[in-house]
Amino acid sequence: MNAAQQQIVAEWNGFLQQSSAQIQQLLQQAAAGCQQLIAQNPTDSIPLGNALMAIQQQIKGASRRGGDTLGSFYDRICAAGEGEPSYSAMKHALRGFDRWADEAWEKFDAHWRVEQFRAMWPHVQQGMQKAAACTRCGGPLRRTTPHKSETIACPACHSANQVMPEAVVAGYYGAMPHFFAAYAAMDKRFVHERFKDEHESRRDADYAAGRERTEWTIEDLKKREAMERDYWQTYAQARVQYEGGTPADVESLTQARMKFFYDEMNREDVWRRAQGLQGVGEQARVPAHLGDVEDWGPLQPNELEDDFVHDILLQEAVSDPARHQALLTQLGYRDAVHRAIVHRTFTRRHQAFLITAEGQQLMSKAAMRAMNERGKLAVAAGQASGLLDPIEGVSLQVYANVQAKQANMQPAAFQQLLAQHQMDQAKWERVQKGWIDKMSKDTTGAVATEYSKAFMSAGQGQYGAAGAAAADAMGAGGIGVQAPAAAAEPLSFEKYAEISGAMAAWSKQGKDISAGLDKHFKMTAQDFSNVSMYWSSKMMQDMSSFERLSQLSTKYEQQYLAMP
Amino acid sequence: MASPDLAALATSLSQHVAAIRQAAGASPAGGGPAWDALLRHYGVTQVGADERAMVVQYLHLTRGAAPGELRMVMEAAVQWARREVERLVQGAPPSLEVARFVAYLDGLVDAESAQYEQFLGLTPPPPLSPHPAPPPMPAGPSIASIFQNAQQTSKEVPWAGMQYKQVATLTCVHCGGPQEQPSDFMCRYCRRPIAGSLKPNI
Repeated sequence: MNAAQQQIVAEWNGFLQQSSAQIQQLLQQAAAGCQQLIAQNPTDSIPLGNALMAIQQQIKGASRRGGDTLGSFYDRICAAGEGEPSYSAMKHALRGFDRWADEAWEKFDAHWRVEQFRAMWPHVQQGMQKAAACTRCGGPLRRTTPHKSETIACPACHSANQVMPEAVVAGYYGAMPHFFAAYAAMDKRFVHERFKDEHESRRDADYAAGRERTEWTIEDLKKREAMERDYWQTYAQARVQYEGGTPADVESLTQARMKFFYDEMNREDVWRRAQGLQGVGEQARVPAHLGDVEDWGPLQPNELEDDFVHDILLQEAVSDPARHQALLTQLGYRDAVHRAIVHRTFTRRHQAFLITAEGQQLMSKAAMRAMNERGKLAVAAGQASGLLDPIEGVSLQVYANVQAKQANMQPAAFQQLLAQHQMDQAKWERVQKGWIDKMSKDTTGAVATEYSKAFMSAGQGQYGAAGAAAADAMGAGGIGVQAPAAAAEPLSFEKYAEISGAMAAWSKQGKDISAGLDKHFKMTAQDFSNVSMYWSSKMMQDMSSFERLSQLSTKYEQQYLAMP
Repeated sequence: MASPDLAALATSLSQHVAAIRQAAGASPAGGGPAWDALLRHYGVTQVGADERAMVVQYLHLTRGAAPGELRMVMEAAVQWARREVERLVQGAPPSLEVARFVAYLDGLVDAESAQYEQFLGLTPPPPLSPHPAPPPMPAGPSIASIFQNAQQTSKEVPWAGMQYKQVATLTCVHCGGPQEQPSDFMCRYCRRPIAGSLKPNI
């Protein structure tokens, strides 16, 4: 590093320091605002949530500028001499800055959310101590779980009373366990993230010194596994402690969260080899002596699109070796080598076509089909494994349907609806918790896909027909393959872009989205969800419409940002 | 008047800075055993022998540790001080004196590095271009307006101020009889579905 480059690196460090100071200043100002907001709304966490969302966007924006500016400094470094080691030193500093900014924000966000729940606690206690009386005779009801709904038979008149917790109690117990647990465990996540950063910096330094970049060793990856497990165990223990549960619940939550880590590891050759598996590239390699073999496998020579569908499906499944093996068999291949030979046969035959516009179009279509196929396979696997089995006798479809209707019903009418499905409020809450739990632990997306279809099929709200049409299209052909019925168009594309832009603006301004939708567009969040599903599904037919949506919504975002 | 903890931290930091400055200045050109021990103490990895030799040669050093290493140690000391501040503040809104101390920390590494280089007789190179100030913060809404909006609009949601009964009893839509057995949705008086019908759950 020559003197001129030292100067540039010093300037870069100065730039990052100033950016850190800007972020710190922002957080300092925001801290006072959060304190006041909590004091004004001790029983309602929504205002704080809206404010934090807006502040986060400003912090992330300030943090992003570091990465955006690196290029111009790199140009100056290169103009002053060799790019390395200055460039890796700057990247190292940027990585440190990004980590600091990320941690500063996470700590800030978690701290104030926890403060909100602390402020809520005295009101929650009060709410739980409130006496409940029978609606028919006024006799006192003895509550046993005041933080949950329960059905209590009146000792005097025998009427079954469904007693629900007060809004503040339900709000507290609904969200507090997650935020308290996240707060308790966050430092452990930071340790893992820093460990990954150190590895990246080591690789940069290797490159700068003209050495081969260090790869992860199995010892490193095992360390990462231990760190990740430690983090999720801490989170799960805290969460189960706050919301109630057993050690088995801790283990099941930890396992579910670790699945994401193992998916990532199963793409690392070092990890795969330690598990006795072939490397990702290795298993798809055609042995030299079979290089010229022509084999179409389970496909016909004209089924090029299907070949790419298989390719995308199998690539995605690599992160789960057992699923990958099962998928190979299901699609009609003997093993990974057989599949590699078939793919090579197709690409060799259609090489010239694949680089044409039509060839590219075919690949895009294959990607869409693969996305739908993946969803169908995940649902089939979910059905086979019991993931989609009913909870207390209530299927996912019924749960989603009832929930879609809830948004537009008065509480008394909702109790009637539940009764038609042989549920009281307490059972409904258990079923709801069960499905949310399954959804959050499912890494295949099967529960979310089925839920979303059933929710939209309910056709609720003023744009219910649009949501139902999108659900029909999904069911029949899949996303992007079949468009929803044009007659169901809820509102114009331009209006959809305007609403999207307005929502982006409100989230930057700390404004409540539901209030804005009601005030400006006379619609609910459920209405927008239906509209959005319709247009997303329709836009898949014409990928250029995504660009138009982005331009239009940016224009509207500016308009709404300018509004008081 | 600074809080006792913050004052103690400031004193401790100035002792660290003085010790680093002294060890760097007393070191043979490029560094020596005492300097290496200090680097280890602060958890700083020393630059390679080749780079040290290059620094001595190109910067014509006759004494003192490499300026780059001094900067790294100062950064480590500042990092430590920042963590201590964080521990003291514990997420509470920082006071003015904490903010001042943090601002002092922000400039400490540059100031100490410049002073040390002056001590070594190094002339700072003229800047290649004007020092690029960080671009202004993106023109987003002000923090004050964010909190004002959050407070105001949360009262504009359609369900604001709605009160719900906390206790409800199902009555039969056919005969008006109350539900008496939890989880029994057939009316025990008229023997018909209490909510009018029974729907499948699968």
